[in-house]
This record gives sequence, structure tokens and C-alpha cells, in this order.
Amino acid sequence: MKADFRVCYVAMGSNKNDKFAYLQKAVNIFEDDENIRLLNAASVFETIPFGNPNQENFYNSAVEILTMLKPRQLIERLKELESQIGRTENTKWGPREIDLDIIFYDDQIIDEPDLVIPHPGIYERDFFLIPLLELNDKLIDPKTGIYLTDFLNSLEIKTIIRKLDKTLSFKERTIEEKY
Amino acid sequence: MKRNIDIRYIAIEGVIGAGKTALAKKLKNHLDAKLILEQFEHNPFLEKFYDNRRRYAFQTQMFFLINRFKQQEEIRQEDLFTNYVIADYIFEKDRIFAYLNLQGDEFKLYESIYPLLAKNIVKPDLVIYLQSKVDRLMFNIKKRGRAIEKNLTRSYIEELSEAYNHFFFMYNTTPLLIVNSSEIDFVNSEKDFEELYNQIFRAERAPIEYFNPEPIRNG
Repeated sequence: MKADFRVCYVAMGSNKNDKFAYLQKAVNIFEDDENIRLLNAASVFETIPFGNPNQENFYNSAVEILTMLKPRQLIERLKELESQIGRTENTKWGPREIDLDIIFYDDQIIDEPDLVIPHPGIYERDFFLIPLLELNDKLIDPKTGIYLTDFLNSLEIKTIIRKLDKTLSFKERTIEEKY
Repeated sequence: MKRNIDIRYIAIEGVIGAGKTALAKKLKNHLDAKLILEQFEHNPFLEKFYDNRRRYAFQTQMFFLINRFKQQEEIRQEDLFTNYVIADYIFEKDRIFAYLNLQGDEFKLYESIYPLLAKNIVKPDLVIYLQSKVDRLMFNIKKRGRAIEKNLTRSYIEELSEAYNHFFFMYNTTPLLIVNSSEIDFVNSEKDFEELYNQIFRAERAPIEYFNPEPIRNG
């Protein structure tokens, strides 16, 4: 594989069984993947379901990663991860163990039938925007050139009901300890 | 996760042509810092190396290793509580090039010397990796027209890019700021420089940050 890495933001969501554990598992797998380097994980937020309200609340978060994988390879890898973590079914708005979506792949714009980056949901979903802004408050949507903070200000639907005290754990802190 | 670091010693890295020296000089002027620049022009083997890598790899490498080590002495003597130091390379760079260019017994010999010299190296407070596309690197190299680089080939720059990306993908020795510098011109654009400067001296930082400068987009 050609060694070139880019920064990516991946949203994570779960609304089935031990939701926090599924998010933590995703973080652990990211850390163990040789083509992915986890830089940071956002807080975990509890949100009311978007699209189909007759289900459990979600836990949502996001990670900032570096990856050697190209967008299409990354999406394939995320699908593998979803089944590795234990995703059993695949109805569009139904309950799920884990959902992993690429929100940004560096500043690339991809508009193909089966792959759209940036994720179109960022314009209307606070559970994408808020964790992302926690990771990087200077993010700009490459499609419109607009700061993400500006989308947040014009959001009409609010789904987040609280931020969890418990945070996802990951190894990247080791630099600070060593340093 | 994020915290304040008092940044005194900054080292800038990137493939040949990434703009390390130019950025180092600009930072030096802003901070009234001591400047440590790689003395590539003192290396009597370098030009020949660009012409015939196999033949001159070891001499070139050893000259750089010793030269870089001597410069580290200078950094060690600096009072990093009061003064800024800006370097246009990190000591481990030497090893990236050794991996790429040395073979067999020469590499073994190198590997027995390097750890002895690397033992007392002062770690930078922040390393900046200027990540750039090969096209942009080739453009910069051509534009600055250093005589010593006239034999540099595109394939060598491609190999170096790969090696650098591998190295920094795994890097965890110091805080790191990766700058996507393909589309940024911090030498000629004050705005670009200022944006980068603010990023460097942000109050809070994560151990590893990836900085995408504000783009000019959609025409």
C-alpha cells in the first residue's frame, strides 16, 4: 500500500444493549488497526432517535483518526468493524449495535451513488456536529466552505439530551505521560 | 486529553522541498529564536549522492550523522527556559534516510553507531511535520534551484515521501503537529503564516494534531 495518510472524522452511534461498551469496542479496534491511528475520541452523548422515534435512545460520539486507507477502503473497513463488533441487522432507521459513518475524509468531496463524503447528515444532525466540534472546533465543511460552528447555530432539531460523565478510554495519552 | 505546553524548542520536518528552512526562518524572526539549520551544503558527498545513490550513500549518511550530532550539542547548551530554539530537522531524520539508503554491512554498522549518538538528544517541545504532495515538492525544488539538488529525481522524492509518511504515522516521541502543506504558502502569504503560527501556539493541544489550513474552495 502506498504510504500516504489523511485525517478523518468518523461518527459512532449505538442504541442496543450495552451501548457504551459497543462504542468502547469500536475505539479499541481502531487502536489495533495497523492502517488507522486514533488521535482523539469525543465525549459520549445520549440522544433521542432521529427518523424513527419508537426505539431506545442512542449513544453517539466521534473519533479523529489518521488513516493510510483510501475513502473506499476505509468504508469497507468500517463495515467489517461493524460486523466484528456485533452488528446483526441492517434496517435503515432501526436499532443497531453500532453504526460507523465517515463524516469527513480530509477535505475531499466524494459524490457517488454508494458513497457520499462529507456525510450529508452533518447539515442537520447535532449528534454529528457536537462531537465533531469537540474534536476540532475549526472544522470547515469542504463542500460549502462554511465553519461547522455556523451549521450548529442554524440547527432546528436538537436530539442531544445529555453528555455522559464517563469517557471512552484510549492509549494516545501515553505521549503526555512520557513527555 | 488536551493541555497546555510551554513551547520553547520547535523542530520542523518534511521531505526535501516541503519548506522546512523557510518556515524555520520565519519563526525565528517572530520569536527572536536561535536557529539550527541543517548544513547540507557542507556535506561534500551530497551532490555526488544525488547522482549515484548506491555509491555515495554511506559517506553521505555518516557525514550527516556526525554533523547533526554536533548541532545537538549546541541545542543542549541553550537555556530553554528563556530562549526559543527553532530547528529545520529532527535528529531521528537521520535514521529515516539510513533505512532508505543503506544496505547490508553498512546498515549494520550504522545501526551500531546511531543509538550511541541518539542517547542524549534533547527532545523538541513540538515537532511540525509539513506533509506535502510530491508534485508540490518537485515544484518547490525546481523553483528554488539549489545547485546541489540538480540531480534529485522524482522517484527519490516519492520514496522519501513514503518513508516520511510511514515514520510520522507511527511517531509518538513528542507532541506532533502535522500540517497539510500542499495548498499553503506560509513564505509568501502572511495570512497563511499567521494561521499556522496561531495553530502552533494554541493554548491547548492534543498530543497529535492534524492541521488543514483554511482552504480556498469552489473557485
